[in-house]
Parts: sequence; structure tokens; C-alpha cells
Amino acid sequence: MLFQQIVNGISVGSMYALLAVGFSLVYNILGIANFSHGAMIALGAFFSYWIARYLAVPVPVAILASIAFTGLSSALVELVTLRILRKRGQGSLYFFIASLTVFNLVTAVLVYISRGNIVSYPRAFLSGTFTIGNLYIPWIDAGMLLISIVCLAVLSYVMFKTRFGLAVRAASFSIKAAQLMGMDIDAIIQGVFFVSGTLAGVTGALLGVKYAVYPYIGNFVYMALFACVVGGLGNLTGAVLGGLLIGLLETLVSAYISSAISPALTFAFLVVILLLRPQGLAGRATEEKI
Amino acid sequence: MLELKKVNVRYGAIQALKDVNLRVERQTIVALIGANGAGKSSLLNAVSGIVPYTGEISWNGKLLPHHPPAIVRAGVAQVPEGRQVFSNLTVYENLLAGAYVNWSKQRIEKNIERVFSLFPRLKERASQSAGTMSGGERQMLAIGRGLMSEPSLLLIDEPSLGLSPILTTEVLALIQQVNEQGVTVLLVEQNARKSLEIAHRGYVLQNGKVVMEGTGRELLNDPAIQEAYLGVSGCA
Amino acid sequence: MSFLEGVLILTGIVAIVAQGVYVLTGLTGLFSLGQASFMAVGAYSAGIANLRFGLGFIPSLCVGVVAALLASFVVGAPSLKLKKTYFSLATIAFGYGVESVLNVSTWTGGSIGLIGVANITRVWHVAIALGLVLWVVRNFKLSRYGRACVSVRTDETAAQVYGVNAFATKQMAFSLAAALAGLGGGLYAFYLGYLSPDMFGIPVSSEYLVMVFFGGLGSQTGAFAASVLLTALMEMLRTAAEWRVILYCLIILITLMFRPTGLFGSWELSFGRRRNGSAPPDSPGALAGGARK
Repeated sequence: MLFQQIVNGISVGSMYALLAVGFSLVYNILGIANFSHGAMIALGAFFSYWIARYLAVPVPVAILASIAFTGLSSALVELVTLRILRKRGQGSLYFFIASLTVFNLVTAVLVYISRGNIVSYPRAFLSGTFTIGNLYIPWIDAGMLLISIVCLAVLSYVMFKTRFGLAVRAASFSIKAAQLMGMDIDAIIQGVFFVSGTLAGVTGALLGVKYAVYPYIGNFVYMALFACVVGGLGNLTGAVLGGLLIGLLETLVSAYISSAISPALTFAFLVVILLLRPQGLAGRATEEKI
Repeated sequence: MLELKKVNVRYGAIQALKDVNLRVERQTIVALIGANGAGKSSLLNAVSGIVPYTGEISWNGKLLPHHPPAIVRAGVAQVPEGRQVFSNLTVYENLLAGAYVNWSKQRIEKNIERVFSLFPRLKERASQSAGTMSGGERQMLAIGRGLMSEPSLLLIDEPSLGLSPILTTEVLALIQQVNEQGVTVLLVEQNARKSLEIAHRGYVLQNGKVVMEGTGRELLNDPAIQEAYLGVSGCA
Repeated sequence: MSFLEGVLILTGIVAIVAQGVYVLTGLTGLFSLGQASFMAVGAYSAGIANLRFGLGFIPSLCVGVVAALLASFVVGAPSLKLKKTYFSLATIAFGYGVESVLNVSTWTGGSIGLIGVANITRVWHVAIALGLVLWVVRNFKLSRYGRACVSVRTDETAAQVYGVNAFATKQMAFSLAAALAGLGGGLYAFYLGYLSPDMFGIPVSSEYLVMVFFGGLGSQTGAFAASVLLTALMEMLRTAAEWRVILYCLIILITLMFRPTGLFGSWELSFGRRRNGSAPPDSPGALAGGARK
């Protein structure tokens, strides 16, 4: 029973890890929380549902198409909000508010379109379970874990082996210095939004398959935030660890105590982390103090 | 030749540069001196296109665009002060970042070899994180990284910041060496004496205006400069 | 109670909470996504005091304010010593936690909510409270504590060099904001007569934050005007229920893009001579790394 829950927790945690990584990528460059990430989660879930439903294509194809859409939507959000604010020299602070409003706006639009209904996919995808020993593992859980491992592998290849990745890491240290190297900072930021949007899209679609598709699914972005703090804000490895830990905590609390109380315990856990280890579990000491 | 004509930079209500005219002849070193906040860094950043300006800036007779990547491609690179090396990247990756506008693998390798021969210390530390290096090594890395885009004009900001006098002399000697290889240098430096000693010409900026110019020697011997920037006893 | 009365009461309550957000965000440069949750703490505490302990109107309101104050220390103590980002994240986590506790606790009526609080709040109660709050916030802003807040917002390190205790200043601003949210929550409980957890989520908190931005971060007048304008707008749009949140977000987004200083910038209404408010925050504070770049 415990192992069963751990498997579940790890697979949910792997989704949080993807969200947290996407969130951190933008945070690292801009030094700001991008709440439109939540909008991309919701769009990822709805796009893939709509495509599967109305274009009658297989669910995996729908998910892939929806990932492309969320990537582009995320890049579009950057173009129409952050870019304009940055050109006016009012970057981060106002973008924080703008991204929050985008999140609220997209949620409101989805509430309007879906009439608040909760829907599930027309065809079963990754349904059923398989057994290892006496463990029953739902295919969706195995699928989520596998897909997030693939996504993280591709991401770390992009970050460490490509020209784009080099530019992103350079810009994360200093936008000014990156510009002096001849890097096109607008293109890099847009690229980062695209990548982060695709990660949110994957997660949104899979969470939609696992649970259901509903307008407030974007609220999972808060889990990404907590994961980032637990792992160490701005630390990609930490984000992955934090995501897994939050996923496990949430699942175990839900299984053994109560699912409704788990957010309160997550908050308590976060307070403990902030008090004892503000730089996060994977972060280096001293750098997070003011 | 780098030529600035009537260049103005303003940040909101503050005017950082006022009608600045300045020339840097090819293959010379020009030193820009002035107090903190005189507009030296703003001038470099205007040339690099990372602060907006009005007026004309041209390199070898062609107007420079305002877009940083295009400026680096036109052969104008800036070496920011040493704390601006990417301390989250390795030394080798820093050099790769410097070669960002260059797509040819062979030329990048060749340039890395060139930088390593100029700064052998960097070769020893190639795979080390730049954040672990000392101030002097960072400065060398910053200059080496600046050379990776094969610039014909190098803008160097405060190379002696945080360095001991001995290291400062060493770094300035390296800049002279780079210049002898045919690279034009516009140097912004706190240490007016040492920079004027290696410079062919110098400009003095005050409150965003050029208030004096001349050869390095002339400025070193000017009583007003001596008093304001070199210190009467000469231990600047 | 007439429709107009209801709108007036609601507007007044929103304006009271928004004044707290002005102190926290406009003056001190801190971004909280938990103000609605402090409202919830105030509302539920006041409601429970009235319903389960039989306390009167004013004592119950006091209980609500004190509860919100206490909660502000629980959130502030671990997070305000760190970068501002952590504070914002802690407030989000707090909002999240409060909602879940309200949903499960039998004390608070669970997800159905607290039903049967006395219907006491009238327009004149809210008007007096709002008047008091506006006066207190104005004096706070002009006092040495207000100046300390501004100095912390502008440059925390420099403020500390000049002897300002940055942590205490931030905690003070945060507690004041929480107390005002608690007061607003208490009035809300006695106005509606019932409470449910979904009235106070993080989206509601973000609306308060956005509201103060809309009015102009540097302006107390702006925060007041924006809360009145936007609440009135929402009430007018009540017939177009589905569209109103969408429209609301669009208006705010467009304002932000084309007039980022908000409607009032840092202009203040003043009687007699014209006084310039403090300038809006120029350093990125929102969930930001601050001087990292």
C-alpha cells in the first residue's frame, strides 16, 4: 500500500518537476515569477482535449499538437506584454502583474467556454493498470514518469549542448553581458517562453488525462512555485527534486490523512523549509539572503 | 576609425552624455578618463547599442546600428568589467559565449587557441567554473572572451577594477599586446595615470561632456589633469 | 436592504482591504497574494466569535482583526528576512493552506461554509470604518514609519545602513495590511451572514493587487479610487455575469500596457496645497531577485 502510494507520488511529482523547471527557466532570466505559466497549463489541457474531441485524432497526436500551441501561446504572451514593457524600460515588476492578469483572463475565458463543466477525453488514453509483483501501476502514472524523464533529458541536452542553451545560461547570469556577446536577448527570452510553454503544455495535457479537464487546472502552477522554493529558487536540479518531494508529500498526506488538508500541510512544510533552509534543499547557502 | 558625433544619452531626467564628439583612430589605444558618473560607461554602452542614444556613431565610415548583435557582427566588442564574466559557466563555455556571433566551428577553435596562447592561465582552467577564479583571472577571461568575436574594435570597461597595482600593470600590458596585434582599443579606466601611459590619445569626460582631449603625454603633463585625476603626489 | 446599499457596503469593504494593499505594495514594495486569505481569517474568526461564542458586533470584529494580525506573524516571520520573492511565495502558500483548512474544518463549516452569522453591517458602519482607515493610512504614510517603508522599498541595504530595521518595518506594513484585511473580512461576514471558502481564494487576492496597480502604486488616492471604480464596474456588469471577469481582466491588461503607472501615478488628492506622493517603486520587487541584474 505504501509503495503503491509512492509510485503515485513520484508520477505526480514528475509532473510538478516539469512545471517547476519551466517556471525556473523564466525566473532565472527575468528574476520574476511568470504566472502565465498557469494559463499555459490550462491551455495545454484544453487544446489537447478539443483537438482529440473535435478533430477526432488519436490522443497522443492531439497532445503533441497542443504542446506546440502552448509553446506558441507562451511566446505570444511574451510578445504582447513583456516585450512592450521591456522596451519601455519597465520590465519585471509590471510583467509580474501582467502575467497574473493573463492567468486570470485565460481561466475566465475557459470558464466561459466550458460553462464550468468538467470533461474527460472522448477515448481512453493510457488507461488501465499493469502489475509489477503485487504493485498495480496505472499506465498513466508510468506514462507521466516516462514522458517527464524524456522531456528533462531533451531539456538538459538543449541547455548544455546547444548554442541556444549556452545563450540562455549566459543571459540567466546577466542580460547585459549576454547582449555584449552579440546575443539577441529578445529572441532568447522569447525562446525561453516557448520552451517553458511547451513544458506547461505537456503537463497540462497529462494532468488532464489523469484527473479531468477543467478551467481551474492552471492552479497547478502553485505547486510549481512551491517546488521551486523547496528545491532552491533558480536551481533547475532543485526544481526537479522539489517537484518530486511536493508530489510525494501531497500523495502521502492525501492517502493517509486527508486530501483536503494536504495544501495546509504543504504550507507548513514550506514554512519549515524557509525557516531552516531558505536557500532550498539543493541550493547553496548564503546566496539567498538579501 | 570610431567616430561619435553629437551623441546624447539620457536616463529619464538625467542626461548621461551631452553632445559628445570623439574619435578613435584605427589601431590606436584611446583612454577615456573621468570621475564616477561622468558618463564613461554610458559612452561604451551607447557604442555597444545597449543604451538608447541620439546622434551618430560610426565605425570605419559606416554608421553602427542600434542592435547589439549587429554591432558585434560589425566587429565592435565590449569587455565589461571582470565581475561580468559568466560565473555560472566554465571558462571554456565563457569563450564559446564570446564567439556567439561566429558560426564556424573551425574558426572558434582557432580563436580559442589564440586566446589560450595569449592567456596560458585560462587554458589550465578551461573546464573550471568561472565563478571560482580570482579577480585577475576573471579580467583575463573577460578580455579573452571579448576577443572571441574577432573584433577590430575592443571597448574595455574598467579592467583594473578590484585588482592590485601589480595585476593592473599586467592587465594593461596585455591590452597593449592585443592592440599591437591590430585591434583598436577604447579604454575606460579609473587608474588615469596607468591608462594614459599606454594610450595614444586620451579624452576627459566631466558630467557627460568632453572637457579635454590630447595625446596621452599631453594629458599626463597637464596641470589641471594632474590635480584632478592623477593626484598631486602622483600616487593615483 | 436595497441593491444600492449592498453595492455601497461591498465597495467600502473592498476599499478598506485595498488600503492595506496600498501600504504593503505601494509603500513597502511587497507583493502579497494572500490578502483575501487574511480577509478569510478575519471573516471566519469574527463569524465564529459571533456564532459560537455569542460575542457582539464590535468585539467580534476585534477578534477578526487580532486573528489576522496573528496570522501575519506566522507568514511574515519566516519569509520577511529573505528576498522579497520568498515573501510572495509564502503568501501564496498561506492562501492555499487557509483555503484547505476552511474546507475541512468542522469549526468553519467545511466546504459548505459558515451559515447564520448575524446580519448587522450597515452602510454607516462601513463608512465610519473606511473613514478611519483612510485617516490612519494617510497618517501612517506621512509618519516616520511610512518613510521607513518607502526607504525599505527603494533600497533595503541603504535603509539598514541608516538605522532602519528592515525586517521590523516590513512586518509592520504587512501586519497593518493584514489587520485591515481582517477588518474588511469581519464587516463582510456581518454583511453577508454566511461565508464559504471559495470567496477568498488566491484569484481574489490577485484582484486586490491588480486593483492597487490599476489606481497607481504610488497613490493612496489611486488605491481608493480604483477600488471604488472597479467594484462599481463589476456590480454594473452583474447582468453579463459570464463576461465580466473577462472584461475586467482585459481592462486591467490594457491599462497596464498603455498607462503602466496606473490611473493616478503618484498623484494625491490633497486639501489645500498640492502634495506630491512618493514615486512608484522603481526597483523590481515582485517575486524578483532584486539587484541581481
